[in-house]
Amino acid sequence: MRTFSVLGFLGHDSRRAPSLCGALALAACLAPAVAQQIPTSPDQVARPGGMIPGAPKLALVKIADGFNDPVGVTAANDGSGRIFVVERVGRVRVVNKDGKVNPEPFLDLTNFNPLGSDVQTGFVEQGLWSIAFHPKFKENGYVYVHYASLPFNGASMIVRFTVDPSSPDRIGKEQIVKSAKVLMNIPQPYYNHYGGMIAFGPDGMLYIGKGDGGWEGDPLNAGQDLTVLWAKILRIDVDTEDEVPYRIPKDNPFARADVPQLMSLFGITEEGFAANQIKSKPETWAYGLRNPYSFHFDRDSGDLFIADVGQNHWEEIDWQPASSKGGENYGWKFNQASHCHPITGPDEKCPIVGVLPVAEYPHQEPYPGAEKLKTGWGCSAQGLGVANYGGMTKTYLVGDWCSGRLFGVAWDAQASKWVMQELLQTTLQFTAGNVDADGFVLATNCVCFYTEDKGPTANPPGSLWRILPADQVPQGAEVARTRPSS
Amino acid sequence: MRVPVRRPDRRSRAAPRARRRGAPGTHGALRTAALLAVLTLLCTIGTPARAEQPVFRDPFDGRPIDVPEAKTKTPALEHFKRTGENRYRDEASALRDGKALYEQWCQVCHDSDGSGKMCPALIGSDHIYPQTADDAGMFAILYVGASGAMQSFAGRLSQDEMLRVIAYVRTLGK
Repeated sequence: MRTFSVLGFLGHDSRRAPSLCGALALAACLAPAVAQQIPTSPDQVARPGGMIPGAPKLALVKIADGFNDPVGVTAANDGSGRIFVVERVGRVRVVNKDGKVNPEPFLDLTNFNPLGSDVQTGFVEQGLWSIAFHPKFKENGYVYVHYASLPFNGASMIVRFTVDPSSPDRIGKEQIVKSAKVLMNIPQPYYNHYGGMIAFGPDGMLYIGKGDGGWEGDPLNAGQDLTVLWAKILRIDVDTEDEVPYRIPKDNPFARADVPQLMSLFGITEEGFAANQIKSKPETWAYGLRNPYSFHFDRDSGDLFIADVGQNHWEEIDWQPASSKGGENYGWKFNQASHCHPITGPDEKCPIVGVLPVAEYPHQEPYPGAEKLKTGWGCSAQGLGVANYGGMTKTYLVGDWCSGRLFGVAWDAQASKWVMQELLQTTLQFTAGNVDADGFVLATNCVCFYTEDKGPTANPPGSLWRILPADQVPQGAEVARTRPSS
Repeated sequence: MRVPVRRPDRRSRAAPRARRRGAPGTHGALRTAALLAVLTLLCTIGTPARAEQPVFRDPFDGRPIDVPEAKTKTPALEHFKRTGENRYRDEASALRDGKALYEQWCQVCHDSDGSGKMCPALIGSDHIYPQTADDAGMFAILYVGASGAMQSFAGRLSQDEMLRVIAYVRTLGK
């Protein structure tokens, strides 16, 4: 069993920024009565029905609207208060502190190339998904995007652009071409399960959520295949010379698993032999994921939550403490959340491969032939961000794309277990979220479901929301229609 | 394939028949009075005497919603808005249209037989939103949307097309 003690957090921390847990914050860091633990059996995995300690009644306050299929959002955290909303078609819009949206996009990948858009959007899971700002963005102006490339037949592109200081709200066509630095070009076998989100961890490394390459059932066995970049969380060091796309962080779990070496057959432990993973991809941080479309670091602790979108029956929320050394295997395609894959019935029996999630929620039919649920179900987990306000502590907010439900996942220190609560249900189709400069969780919604997709600029517009305690909603603010969980 | 056609429910057809039978004619006041008495009795035991103009409600919170006049009016739509009765349930060509629309817009979520895949079932009697069981209720869900992936179809289907889809959905699960 992997147990992470408070002392372990303090003394054994590979990812957290050094300043996060300084002497002044020591008391806060020591607050949990019992250290969080990764579940070791399926009955320890939280499901809807629990109560998040301290969770208030919540409301979603509209910040801005009129976005074309908004599927990502982030804040630059450069002191400007600007929020950047990613439109699937290939644009990024600036939302100013007062909620006004700049008419000109911050970035437009649809027209810098005279031959047409650089972004493949033919299927609703394709497009521009995410933008991340370098930790030193204020000084270097670096922004990173992840999108499906039209010229490269849908491949995943990780590209850096540089903001011209004289034009802080817009990277024009010339600047796009002049400053583009391609970090990664990951071929995509099928048109779904790209993953999408990219974000810098508190360690300054760029983390990339990469799906299993698509179709269904992981036909390429990408989840357990360490020789491919699909079905992983990748971790790369972007602070390199311009001629070098990126470097492998030395402390990546498979950084040296494929290095040339002399063969020794004797005097080596079995653990030592097992460390040889020939042809393994050193970019891999975690594997066994199906479609980690979104993931978020907790700014306070450095812990990582991953929302891994499930297949037919279960959605999965994974957690890594800041002290993680990486290398976690989340079980896909042997397991789907804490269940067997393929799932066949209610009394399934199968080995649990790798690390269990901390929480899971079912689709309307938790297994084939099950009685359909009326509450607590969804179909696609979109992590929104980690809330540390309004009575919530390290509470991962997750919105569902199908049901409009908002779930919370947190560790209940008194009960020494993970809990999951359906906090409310909205009418919204959640797509993404992040934490703003003030620490509040943002959320976007689209009207862009599979069959209803008319194209990334033809669908009804989506909106940007801020999740606040209901008693802190500004007077006159527009709020999303919600109803309490039943 | 022969598409089973559901007969209109008694609720919506009872009133016109009753009115026809109750029309004053040449059979005398006594017979008229007797028929009126039967009508009164029917009312008191809870069977609606006539179809009523439906009130369309938001499935999410039950509030009444406004369904403005359609750009393209059809007799079936006008009748539906007056009575709640969906005449397309009996019309083979409308059911064919409804099937095509269902396959285009609904099937991937609700499955070809309406039993639901990743979305709620449309057949049976145990619905997430109880108003699904009623044509006016299902119309309101299509028009205004419900939650999450079930967003409004008002910009995608005409009101008349919604009626055709509903008529087809009612043939499923039979």
